[in-house]
Formats: sequence, structure tokens, C-alpha cells
Amino acid sequence: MEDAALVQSIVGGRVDAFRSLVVRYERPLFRFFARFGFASAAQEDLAQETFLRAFRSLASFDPERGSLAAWLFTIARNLATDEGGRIRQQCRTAPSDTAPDARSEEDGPAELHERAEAVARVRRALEELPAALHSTFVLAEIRDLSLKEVAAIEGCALGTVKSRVHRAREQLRAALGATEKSR
Amino acid sequence: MTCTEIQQKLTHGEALDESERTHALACAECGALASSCVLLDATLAALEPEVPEAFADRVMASIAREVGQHGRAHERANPTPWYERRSAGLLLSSAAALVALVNVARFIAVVLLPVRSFGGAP
Repeated sequence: MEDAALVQSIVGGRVDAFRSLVVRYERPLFRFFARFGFASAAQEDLAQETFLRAFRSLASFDPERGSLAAWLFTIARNLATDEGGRIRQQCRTAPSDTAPDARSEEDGPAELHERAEAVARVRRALEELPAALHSTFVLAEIRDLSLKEVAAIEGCALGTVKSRVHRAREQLRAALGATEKSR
Repeated sequence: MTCTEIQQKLTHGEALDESERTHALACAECGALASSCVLLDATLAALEPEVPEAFADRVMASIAREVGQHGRAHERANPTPWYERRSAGLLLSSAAALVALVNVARFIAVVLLPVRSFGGAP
């Protein structure tokens, strides 16, 4: 079922259909909050709050004005930047929260250590990005949204989004470069 | 297709097409940028979080609680009139049944029993 039809069904009284929406968007939302720098407990709280807020105001969603993904990530972004700021300061992502899953069977301890170091550097570099750059980059990185939708959420021009993504990637590559050089 | 165009695509995180990939393999500058971008994407992919088990169940339970609370609050704010309540309906139907029973008893006592005591109809 497409997003708009799903929303119509939920608004029409089929509350249980909201589960399909949760299952469809839980992973991108967790990814969004994780890349925003939240620890796993905060990721769950924020993702749950996003879905609750979405449920409360689902009747106000207008498919003519944008996709459900863009609408949902607008709620998530507002939560992450406003209410989340407090939580984020309290509990930064713990190193074990996002284990590097890209390891292969043949990786030795040295390779695993290098990879973990690279992940930690990128995470730190992500957290150190200026707020606007961070938010835009994380939204663009989710891949569930077009850059045009990211521009609508951020309230800026498409060119600005492209430039922010470019700058963010430059900074993250520089952080990784430092890892490479330190070997 | 120029090096600048390819490098722009790479730094924007866009995918390269076949001919651009071929160029990146041959050009030292584009190749170095491409491999650092691939490394960045792989590192970002390693930041993938786990969705906790039964997360959707917990969200749906919160929603069910909220829908329940909303229903009860709505009921408190707009109480059902006494004549529309289920208990009032039951009471009225019981009263109607009682009246019907009394009328049947009266019919038997007043009409049927006197006729029988006079030996039936004339």
C-alpha cells in the first residue's frame, strides 16, 4: 500500500494500519538519529516520539504538499534539533552503540582496530559539524529523501543543500584522511 | 565529462556511471578522490544502528494507550445523556416487559377466569 493510501486508511479509523508505517520508517529514523549523534536509548525515545507526534497530527498531512517521508523527517529533525539537544548533551553516542558491522571474517585485530578508529573519527567529525551542515548532511545521507525534499525540510535552496553536503563530506573525508596518515 | 564534473559528483556523494568509473580508474586525481569517497561511505555504513526488537509493538502500545485515554477524556468531557446509556435501555425494556406481564395476568384474571366459572360461553 502506498504512503498516501496508508495514511487515508489510518485517518479513516484503522489505527492498526499505523504499524505498517512504523515498520516502513523505523530503520531510516534510527539511522537519522544515530548519525545525529544520539545514543541508542535516546534514538529509541526520539524515534518513538516522532511516530507518536506523527500519529497525533496525521490528519493534517497533505500528500499534495510533499511526501510522507519528508513530513516525517521534518518532525524528526525538529525533535533532534530542539528537544533532542538536551538529551544529546547528556548522552553522546557510546562507542559500542554503533559497532562497525562492515568487518569481514578475514579481518585481523589490527584491521578491526583501524576500522574502529576510522568509525570513531567519522563519528566525532559528524558531531563537530556546524548545526546546519550536520542536519542537512544527515538528512541527505538517509537516502530516503531527495535533495529537493531535504531543501524543503531545511527551508533553504537546493543549491545550498548541495553545497552543505559537499562541505560536510569534505570535512568527514579530512577526518578519515587523518586516520590514514596516522597509520 | 571532465575531471571537475566527476570530482563534483564524488564530493556530492552521487554515483558515477560506467564511463565515469572507467575514467576514475585511469586518472590518478579522480581515482584518489573516488577511493577516499568509497572509504567514507563504507565508514558511514558501519554507523548503521540496530532497530531494537519489538520496537513497532512498543509504538503501537503507546498509541493504543493514547487512543484509550483520548476516548475516556472525550467521554468525561461529553457525557452520554441518561436515556442513551445502556443501563437506561435495559431498565426501560425490563419495565416494558413487567407492564406486559401484569397486563397478561389482568387479562387472565378479569376476562378468562370469570367466563370459565359460568360454564363457558353462552
